[in-house]
Amino acid sequence: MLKLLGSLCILAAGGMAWMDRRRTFRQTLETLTELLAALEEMEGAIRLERLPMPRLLSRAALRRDGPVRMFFQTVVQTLRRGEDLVPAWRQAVGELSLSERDRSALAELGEKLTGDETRACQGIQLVSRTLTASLENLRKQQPEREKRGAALWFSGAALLIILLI
Amino acid sequence: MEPSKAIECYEQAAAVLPSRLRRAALAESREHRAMAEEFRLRTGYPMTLLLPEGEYATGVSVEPGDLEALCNQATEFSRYAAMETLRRGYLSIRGGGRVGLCGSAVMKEGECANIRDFSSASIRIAREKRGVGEDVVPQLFREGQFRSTLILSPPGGGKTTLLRDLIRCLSEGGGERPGLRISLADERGEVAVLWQGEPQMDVGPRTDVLDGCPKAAAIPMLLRAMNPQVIAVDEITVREDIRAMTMAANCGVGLLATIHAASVEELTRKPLYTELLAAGVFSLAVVIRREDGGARRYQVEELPC
Repeated sequence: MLKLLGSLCILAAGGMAWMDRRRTFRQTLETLTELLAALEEMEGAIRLERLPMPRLLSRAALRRDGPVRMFFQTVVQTLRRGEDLVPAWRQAVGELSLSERDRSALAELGEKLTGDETRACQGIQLVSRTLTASLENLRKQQPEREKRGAALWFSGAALLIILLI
Repeated sequence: MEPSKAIECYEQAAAVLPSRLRRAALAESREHRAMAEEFRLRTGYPMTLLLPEGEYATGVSVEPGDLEALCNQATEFSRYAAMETLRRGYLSIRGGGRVGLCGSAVMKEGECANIRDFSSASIRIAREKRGVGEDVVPQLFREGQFRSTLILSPPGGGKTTLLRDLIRCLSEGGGERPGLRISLADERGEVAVLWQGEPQMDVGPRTDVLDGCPKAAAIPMLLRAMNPQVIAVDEITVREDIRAMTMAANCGVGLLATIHAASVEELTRKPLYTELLAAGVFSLAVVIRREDGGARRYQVEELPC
């Protein structure tokens, strides 16, 4: 009985760890998708409306969900306190669930956004390209990762059952 | 203007200063805060306040980087949104103030495309003086009809302040004089100070504002779209503006505009404006003169045809 309970505990812990990884993975996918949509809107607003940054970021916060909404809200609140955009942007980027490479590309965008239209839009396009590549990569990996995770979990379960017998 | 309102305007203008300079500006005496007309920043020198009696140095020096920070704050970190005016050397700020900038001009095809390495800046504090135009307005009518009028004074003489109040008075009407439909081409956004579509300064209930658009383009747009009785513009400086105003005058619209000139005589000596005077577009001028002690006097004069 004790062996059975122990085995169940191990299986549950394994399952939870797998679920957690899956959730993080999905969150990264969602963050990337939302960020790309927000950046596209920002580029349009800069080119066509010349919307000032605080209003642009407030609008992005309203239109986006989850961690990306939080990200834009944090930057807007920091700007309202009279602080500088570049450190505010960098700090908020640090809270996003992204790879180091994506985070670093996004962090650099803060400085470019304070430039003229060409510089701001080129910066956005550059980051968008980096994030799009990451998103495609993750999407390609998704079935493989799920298959591998399931296989690992079942192998673990099978091994435990054999051990219990 | 009430001292509390004047101090509010001062604080609004000080909000674009980098934090170190802002703290120093806000620590100035109440009298200075109520009277100051401009902040002046020159790299390597103390920040000064322009008071009616002259420049007063604060104890804080302007360091390299302060003017970049000022530009970021003034444009709300959005230089792309202010590039049109930045390349002409100024930025309009929230509350109706204006930041003038000097530095190294970046030239492209013979025109200034940008300014980099800022060396000095002046921040003009917007002042709304309700009522300054009330005595002037009745003098701008002949046989019950508004006559096209120029407002003349040297830079910093209070042309925009008077223009704003004249627009308000004409728009509101008064006594037996009905309110007029005014269209304001507010290229620099300093007259009405639109904020998310709402004028921050009182320009009257019958005033339609188009801001951020060059006057030469704005005047035909307003004529077509808003059916104005009077078109008002601030600071006529180029031939295109004069052409657009002549065209509007030919459509039977009254005009109200400001020009840099100390007197009618000086105006007639400027080649750019002879075309305007020759066309007989404007028939009156309000000349702003400073009396001893800094008080302004408004004198209405007939313009030569």
